[in-house]
Amino acid sequence: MPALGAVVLGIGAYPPSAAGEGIPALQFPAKDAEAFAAYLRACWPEPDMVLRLLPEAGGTGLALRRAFDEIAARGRFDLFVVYLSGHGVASPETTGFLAQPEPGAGAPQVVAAAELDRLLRAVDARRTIFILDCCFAEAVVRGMPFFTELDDSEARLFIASSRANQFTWEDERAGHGVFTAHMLDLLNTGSAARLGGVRDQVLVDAELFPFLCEQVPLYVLEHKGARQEPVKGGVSTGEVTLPVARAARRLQDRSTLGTALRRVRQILVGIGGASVVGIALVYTLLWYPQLDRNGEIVLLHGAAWLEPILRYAPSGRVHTGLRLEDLSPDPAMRQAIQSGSLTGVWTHVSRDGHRSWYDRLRPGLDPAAAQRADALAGLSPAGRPRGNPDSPSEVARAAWSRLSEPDAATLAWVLQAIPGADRRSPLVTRFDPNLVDFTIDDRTARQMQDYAAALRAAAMVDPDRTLPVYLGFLKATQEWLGQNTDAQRGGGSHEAVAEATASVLPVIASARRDRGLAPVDPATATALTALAANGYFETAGRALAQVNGAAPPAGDVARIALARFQGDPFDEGQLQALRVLTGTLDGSADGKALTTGVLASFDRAGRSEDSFRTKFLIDAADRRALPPAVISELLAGARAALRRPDPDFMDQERARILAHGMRDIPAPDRPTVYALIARVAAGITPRSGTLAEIYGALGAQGLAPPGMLEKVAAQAAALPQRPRYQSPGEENPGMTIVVGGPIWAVALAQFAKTRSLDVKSLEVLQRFADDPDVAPLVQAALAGRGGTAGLQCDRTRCSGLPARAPQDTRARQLDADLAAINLAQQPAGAFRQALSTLRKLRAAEIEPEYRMALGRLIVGAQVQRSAPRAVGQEEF
Amino acid sequence: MVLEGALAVAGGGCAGGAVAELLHWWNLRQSTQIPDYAKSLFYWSLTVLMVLAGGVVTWLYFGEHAEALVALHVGISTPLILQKLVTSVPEKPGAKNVITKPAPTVRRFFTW
Repeated sequence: MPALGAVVLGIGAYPPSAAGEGIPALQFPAKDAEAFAAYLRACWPEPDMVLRLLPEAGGTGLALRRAFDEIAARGRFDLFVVYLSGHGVASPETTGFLAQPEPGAGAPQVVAAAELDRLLRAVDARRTIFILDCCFAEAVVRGMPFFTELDDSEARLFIASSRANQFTWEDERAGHGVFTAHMLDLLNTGSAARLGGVRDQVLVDAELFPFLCEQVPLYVLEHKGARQEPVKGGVSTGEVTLPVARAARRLQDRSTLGTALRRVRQILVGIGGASVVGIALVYTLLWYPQLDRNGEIVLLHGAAWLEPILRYAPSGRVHTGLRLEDLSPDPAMRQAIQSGSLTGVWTHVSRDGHRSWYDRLRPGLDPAAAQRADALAGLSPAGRPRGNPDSPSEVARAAWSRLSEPDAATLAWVLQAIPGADRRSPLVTRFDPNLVDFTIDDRTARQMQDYAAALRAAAMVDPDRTLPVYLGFLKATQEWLGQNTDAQRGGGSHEAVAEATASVLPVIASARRDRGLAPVDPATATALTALAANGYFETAGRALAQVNGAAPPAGDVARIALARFQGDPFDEGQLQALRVLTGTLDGSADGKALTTGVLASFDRAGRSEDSFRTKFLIDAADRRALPPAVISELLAGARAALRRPDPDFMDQERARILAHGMRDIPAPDRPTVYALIARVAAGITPRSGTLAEIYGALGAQGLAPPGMLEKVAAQAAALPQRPRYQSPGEENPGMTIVVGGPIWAVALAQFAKTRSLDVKSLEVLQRFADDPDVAPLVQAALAGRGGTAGLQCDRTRCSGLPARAPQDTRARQLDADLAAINLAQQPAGAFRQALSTLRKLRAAEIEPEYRMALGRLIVGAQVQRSAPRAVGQEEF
Repeated sequence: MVLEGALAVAGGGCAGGAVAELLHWWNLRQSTQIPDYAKSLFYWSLTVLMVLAGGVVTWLYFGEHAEALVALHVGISTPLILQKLVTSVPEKPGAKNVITKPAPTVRRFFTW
């Protein structure tokens, strides 16, 4: 009898017309069948074997039956092997192997278990092995009673590729179905780790099947993440073996531990990938606050607990412009910000249309800082509480906030809170030094200054409503000055309060001038003059003296001041008079006459070389109030100094005065002054503040000799910012010694008044742009000489807006300050239009830090416009 | 109409998610697995999760203030996007099976 009969069929592809849903094509069944047939051919020579390898395309049910019939017709076989590879079908309706459709038929044919059972019975063989490689293979074979009885055979065995409810898989790496690949690997090589060597024969039950049970599930779990467990069954009276074809191994042996470790690695990679996605989402969506090394509150990407990971990524979102000192004094309130535990979602927007991080930070801020920030950001509408009217600081803040958002009700509230209302009528009264009013006299200097600040802010918004309130407050301040001394209130408090009160009138005057009105109406000027003559000199007189363009009344005040000044500036009253006199100086004949009068007073008092005299002459020179006689005297002194072999301290003073008055020195005499300056420069350190002052004064007038600007720029660039050193007591302004960068930055800024500076010089100025001592001058220089483009606004938009610079608060705020300076210089109509447009743009802005920058611009522009610096007050 | 408050905003998103899931279940009515889905607590839990996801994503976007219609739209889109993400994960090839009545799976549940 022939040794082997075999029917081999592998179907992976179905004709297109028959293809339908749920029947995907398979890659390897045909190849599986070819490989199995090759194994059979290798192990059984041709005459001993009857093999029917059905073609894939012709693998119909009819063809299968014919193949079985042909085998059966050849008589009894020693071994009959059936190998089927392809799709399996398992459903309540039918279970079987999916064959090709018959010609002319549409759908593929299911060769059911019963049909297979009948076909197997038709072939007479001593031993039968049925190998089924398809999904749900166990479901197919369990419906075949062929394997439950031997009849006259010795063995009837089946090996199914998977359980009844499991898929059977093929894999590109194996190049076959996984089950067939492993089976062929063992049958072709005879080698496996569990066999402990190479065999010539493999026991189907004891060796082949355990090998498949071990390796197939591991392979499928590792590569498909699924379960596939081969199933065997049948009956036999003895062992059944299959020969080994002795070919090279193709598959690697797997161990359970190795597969488990690989699976764990796959899971960990999946978790890692999900974690990366999660971290990316947190990084993108969330923010948390932190204090940077400069003490500013910055917002970072992500959350504080992810900081150890996110520190390696760009983490800065925005520099808020809020600082450590803005935090609430209550540790419980500030803790969330300081610790970074506060977290929010970046995309959240508040009702007002700005990002909600501001609302989240706000509770942790000091109330005053929060009010200020609200005002800048345009978030304090009329309805919000204004504060305590009995607190001058809150009144001042409320007044200041109205610059950002005009509100008539708040203005009225502010003006009502200012003391002195009962002193307005009658207005002109004689000052009574014995009058005691504790509601005024017990105020601190800071409180009085706060009231003055409130009046300045109110004046910018509505000067005419502010003026009467101011007049009452002015009288109250004089009373306060009369009842309080520096010993009681602190050094310099007297002067600070007097100056603060006096400085309100120039703001009123500027605001009125901006509205096309006279700076001070005649009635008010007359009243102030009368008050100055009746004991209110320190306040009314000083205020009137600071108003440019109030000529006749200012002249009257000057005469009163000249009468008071007897040449002794160390007397408080005379010092006040000297300050008033300085404020009234101008280039008119009266102004020059005043200068002569003051110098005569100094001379009568024997103070011809007094530092206050020098300072007065410098101020007079700045105001072009030096009489020709004084200039001649100074020039004579310069010539004498140049003839002397040794320098004299007064040479420096003379050089300073002449430098400031260079415009008024006849051109032929200017070389003498330059020579004196050069002599002075040779005798002192090149870093001296005196030289900075002299060079700066010349630069401001456009009369600096060649090379001077370069010296100034070099000095300004060379030194870092240092703290200012003051001599004991500021009563001797001439003795102030200033070294370091800022004073030279001021000198450089002076040059910017008359010429354009190069890029390097502008960069130097930018370094000092936020130094509080010199910021106004430096920023004016930057704004006027290429520091920033002009701001232009129409009804709906503006060009030349400050840079957004979300991560550079300094740049953002400096840009806003420079834009404010530019805006303040525009004509009145354009200015008011720009303010209105800027407020609209701010209301539509989503970024809170930029809202605050726009608010800074809005407020700053009004401050710049309404409070111009008096000539000569600024520099030295 | 503006929704105020985190709960209201999330609720608007959940409403959108519910609309999407209603449409989802309506489209599944002819699916052969519908009896299995309808009787399974697991698939109903997935449905609830999709609705809640709509609410969460809407809150993430808008916080405490949102236009109701926009919140609804975001809530509708969230389950659609999530389900599309799930069904776009490639299936493992090489299963040798023909399923006349495929078993209910999450992937099939989200394919509609």
